[in-house]
Amino acid sequence: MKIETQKTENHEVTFEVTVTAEEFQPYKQQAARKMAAQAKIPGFRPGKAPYQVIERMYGNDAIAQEALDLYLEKEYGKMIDEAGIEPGGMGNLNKVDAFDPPAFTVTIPLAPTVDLGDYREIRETYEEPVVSDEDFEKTIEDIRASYATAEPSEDPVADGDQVNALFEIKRKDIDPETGTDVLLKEMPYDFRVGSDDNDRGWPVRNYTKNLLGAKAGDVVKTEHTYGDDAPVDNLKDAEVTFITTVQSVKKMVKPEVDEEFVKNFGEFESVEAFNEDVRKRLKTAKENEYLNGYVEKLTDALVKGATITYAPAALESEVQEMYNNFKQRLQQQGVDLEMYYKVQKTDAEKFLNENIRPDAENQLKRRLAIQEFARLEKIRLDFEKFKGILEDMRNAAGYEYAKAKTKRAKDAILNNVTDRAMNQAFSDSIFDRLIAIGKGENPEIEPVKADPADGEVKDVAVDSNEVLDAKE
Amino acid sequence: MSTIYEVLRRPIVTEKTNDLLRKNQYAFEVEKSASRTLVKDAVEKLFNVSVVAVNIIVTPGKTKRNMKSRRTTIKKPVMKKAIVTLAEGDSIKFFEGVE
Repeated sequence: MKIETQKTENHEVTFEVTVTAEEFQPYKQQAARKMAAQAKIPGFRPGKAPYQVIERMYGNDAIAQEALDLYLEKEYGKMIDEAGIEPGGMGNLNKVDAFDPPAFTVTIPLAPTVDLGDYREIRETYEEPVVSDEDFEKTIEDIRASYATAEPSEDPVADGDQVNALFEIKRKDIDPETGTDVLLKEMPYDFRVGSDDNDRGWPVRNYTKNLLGAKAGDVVKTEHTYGDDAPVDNLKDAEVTFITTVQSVKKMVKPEVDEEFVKNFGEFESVEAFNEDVRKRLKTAKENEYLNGYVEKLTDALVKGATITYAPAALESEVQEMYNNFKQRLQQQGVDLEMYYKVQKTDAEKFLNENIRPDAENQLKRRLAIQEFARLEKIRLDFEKFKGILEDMRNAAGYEYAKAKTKRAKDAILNNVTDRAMNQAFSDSIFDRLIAIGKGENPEIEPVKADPADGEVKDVAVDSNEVLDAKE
Repeated sequence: MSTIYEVLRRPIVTEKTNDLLRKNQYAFEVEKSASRTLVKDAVEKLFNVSVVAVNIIVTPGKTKRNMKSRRTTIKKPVMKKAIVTLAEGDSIKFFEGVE
């Protein structure tokens, strides 16, 4: 066997392999035996036909092809060991010059390499999130609004009111396709005045402002010309009239925050205790939100300062995985992929290249940078944290676990919960370290313990089992 | 009376005849009326080899049940087989591989 190794600029290695006929002969014999086992040849039991008979039946080329597969299966590992490379994926047999004896070219993607540079010098200003009085007031108002009751009113429509109306949309001209000017037949609809000040506002943003001052029985007509906000293409530049016949007006009455009201949210002894709890939750939520953004900034800085090289195959597999996940999500939502492309005015190739590929590239770089960071910082799973997370996950999983009928299903849930808890505990440890570095705390790298503590892992696994069994 | 060109019907290539090759023996299905002498002449002339011995076996036509058709029994035809032993050093290429 003669191998010529060549490193390409794509972070791949190309092997040009030439095999001698003597080296290849045993593989041909093996291939013929393998083919004989599957062949149905008159006069011979499966696997008993001699080489000559197989050759006469299938031809030398077929045996040589099969033999090449066997050869690669056996010699691939040796080739890699001899070249002293670290592969990052499956090799690709891209050129076969001859089959018997074989001469071929294999391209092997190399494992990605990551140099994080001076990652310990990454700094981001950390500002402790503060819960302002306005935030607190707004949250209390939102809670009150969600418990508000609608009470009939004779007054004109005011901001925040609920309006029960009959609503229809007419075009100014006749639609040539349908032959009518009715775009939407009259139908009952409830408007909440002031709640449509966003992109989801229907029929158009801030439409409910037109209803201000109207009373029950009034008909409000509003003319509108669709621009870029047209829900479908053929409505662009169409002039339409929104007709709302107000049927009744209801005022939204928000409850007072008193001792009776706070009991809806738990066993609070006083309004002060409830307020304190809301402030605490608000602070945690704000902290989490801020930390997410903070970690995001730090990871971006980590990737920016890193030199990451990977073979195109690594990106391709990331793209494929992301695309499959996306397809699965669409399927779960009951959306057809072709339909999705139609709505987004794209096709499979354009979508892969313009939407999926940049995200996949970004995700791959981040993953590689974080993996290297975890390796350099010698981050290990924190068992105490893991147990804590497992404990937190037990409620949701416990119900599911009790419902599962077979042992297999129970085991699957158990594995899933343990896996998730382990992943979360590990990524928490990574991000905690990253945050500490970002804040400039300069944390020390703990030396790796000689014993990986197998016993501890087993203990935890038993714990999770007991936790779930107890819930049953 | 058959001529030597009609004597040999087909070579028999099975696991069993494959084993006979070690003893330089080759198996053929032959014409029902063929005699040892005719088979010997035919093999010697057609394959340009010298024949040491010819053994003849007449396998009876076996009956087989077939419930799928109205004819419930099928009779397979009688077959005459000749096992030809060649002189040392001679061989018939056809049996050894693709020619």
